[in-house]
Formats: sequence, C-alpha cells, structure tokens
Amino acid sequence: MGKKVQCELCPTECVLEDFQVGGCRVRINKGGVLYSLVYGKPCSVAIDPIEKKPFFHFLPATTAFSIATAGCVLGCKFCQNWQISQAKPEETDYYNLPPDDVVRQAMFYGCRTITYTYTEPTVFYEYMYDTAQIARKFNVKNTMHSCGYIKEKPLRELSKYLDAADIDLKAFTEDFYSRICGGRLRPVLDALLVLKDEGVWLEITNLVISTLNDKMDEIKEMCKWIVKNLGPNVPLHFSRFFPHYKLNNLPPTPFETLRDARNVAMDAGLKYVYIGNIRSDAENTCCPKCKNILIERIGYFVKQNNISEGRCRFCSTKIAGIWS
Amino acid sequence: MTDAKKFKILVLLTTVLTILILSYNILSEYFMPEIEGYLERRFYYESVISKKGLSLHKGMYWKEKE
Repeated sequence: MGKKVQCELCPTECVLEDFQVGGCRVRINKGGVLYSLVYGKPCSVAIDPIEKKPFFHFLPATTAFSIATAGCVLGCKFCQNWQISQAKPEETDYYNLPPDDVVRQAMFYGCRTITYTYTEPTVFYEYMYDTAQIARKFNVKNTMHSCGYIKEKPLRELSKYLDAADIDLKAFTEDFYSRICGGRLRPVLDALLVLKDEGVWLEITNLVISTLNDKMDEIKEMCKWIVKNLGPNVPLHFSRFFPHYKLNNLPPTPFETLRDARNVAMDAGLKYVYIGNIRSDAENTCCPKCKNILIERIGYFVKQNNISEGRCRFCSTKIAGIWS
Repeated sequence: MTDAKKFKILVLLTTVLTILILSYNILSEYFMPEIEGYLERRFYYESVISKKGLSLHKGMYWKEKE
C-alpha cells in the first residue's frame, strides 16, 4: 500500500489513503502520489455572455468560453449546479479538451475570455492553471467564478494569470458556512484579501436566501467588511434564490428583500450594487457621481454602454473595472 | 496413551487455539479494516474509475503524510 498524502489545495486539507478520493471527488491518492482525475475532461463547455458569470465591470457585452469539470470543495444545500458539482467524474459525461484546445476553441468562437465556472474551479486547479498560462500568451483573458475556498499559496500562483474573479460570498456567518455549505467563512475572506492584494479584478456575489442569510444586520456587516477591506469599488451582486437541490422547501427570495439588501449595501458605501436573477433597474450600472445610466442591461444582454475609455461619457468620472 | 500425554496435547491445543483467537482479534481490529478498505477502494478504482477513461494527471499542492 502507498503512503498517505495530504492535499493542500483547499482549506479542507483532506488526508487520503492509497486509492482514496478526496472530498472534492476528483483528486485521488494512487501509490502515494496525488492525481487529478479531471484534467482536460470538462463536463460542461459553453459560450456565455460575460454578464452571466456575473461580471458587470469586465469587458461588457463580450462572450466567455466557459468550462467546468465535475466536483466541488463545498456541499452547498442550495447549489444550482448540484448535478455536476456534487457528482463524481465517473458519473458524468465529459469532453476530451486539453488546455491548448480550450484556448483554440475560445479564439475560434471569438471569446475574449475563458471562464472557469459552473462548479468550483479549485477542484480542477491544474487544468485551469495550464489553460490560463496558454490563454495569457494568446491575449485571451482568464476569469473564474469561485466560492473562494482555496488556500493562499495556490491562489497567489493562479493570480499571476487571472484577470478577474467573481467570488461567492455566501453569507457572513461561520454558522451558515458550517451548516449549509460544509465549509468555513474565514478562508473565503482570506481568499478575497489575497485576490485584492494580487490586483485581480474582483466582483462578489451574494445569494440571498429567505430565513437563512437575509438578516439586514448581517448584510450590513458584510458590506462594511467589503468596503473596509476591499474598497467601495468592488461590485456586489445580490442574487435571487430559487428552490434547488436540498433547499426545495424555501420560497424564492422576495424582490423587496433584495432591494433592502441593495439599499443597505449602498448606505455602507459600496458604489456598484446589483440585483440578479430577477429583472429590475438594479441590473444597470449608474455613474456614482452624475447618476446617469452607464450600462443598461436586460438580463445578460447589454442594451447601451456609455462608458468610454473607462470613464462616464456624461461627466468623465472614472468607473472602476476592466473595460477594454 | 497415558493421561499425562493426553493432558500435554490438550494444553498444546488450547494454547494454539488461544493464540489464534487473540491473533484474529488483533488483526480484525487493527489490520483487517485497513486491508478491507484498501481492497474496496482499489477494486472501485480498477472497475469503475479507470474504465471510465479518466486519465491521471499529477496534482499540484499536496504532501506525503507520515
């Protein structure tokens, strides 16, 4: 029998015996060596509007070549992609798509960006890292939508090739992370600080779930933390919850709750706060100074864009983001 | 066969039996689950994972554990 190994990719730090698979379902110890089972084997490949990730301050109205493999480092009871995130790679169908093919396909379809998304990209770290390196050489940007449950060292290494990250800050209590997600809050906050420190463009998504994380004082605390530690320019997306997976018993989040959360966030000092998964004016980007609509969106689609060279076309205020 | 010889054989058999029972208990408590678990995992890997065509790619960020 081979030696035990300890994975040092995510804060769970699984210790694996020979032929044992980690909690993420995709990393295995074989003969005392840790292997990835999903390298070059995405189970989901699609071309999406970048707004779907959601990135609202990153190359608007462009497309993102999006890939995901099976597996996840967390086990959120509300997961919208649980069919693949909570599945083993041997239970899903997959494509054979090595890193250079991902970049080639992205360029062929005119995608400015490759996004590592749908499930948790940390679990296919090696695949993402190699793809990102190649993409950088060909001037294709790299973004990820992640839960931020990753250790500092691998995240700093990845950040060299990462242009933007959308991090799911699922709640602002350890209790929620422990009971609902099977993880911890602290490592996610640490990951946000690392990304900020590394200069990766950051957006945050918070899925608001009735009765579980919709208390306004908690949301206020979260927003204050964001303003204090990441700055007021970080876009925050409050996303509407719909019953999914193990949380089928809860109702969709009322619009009023999302609106209140947005008001709390703006009162806390955040300049760009959006409401997602429901149509409203809160999908638009407005100039924090003159209040004119800069980017008008309908769902994932951009109707008008009044940002020119990173500035408001009406009052020339600099708008935070990556615009070209 | 004398009674003394019969007694010796009985003592010998009892000793062997006791050692066997003790060994089994120790093995089943400490080693058998490990071996059983290993065989189970290995069988799953050989019969399910490797048959699915999933190749192994050496991972980053891990260490050997003593």
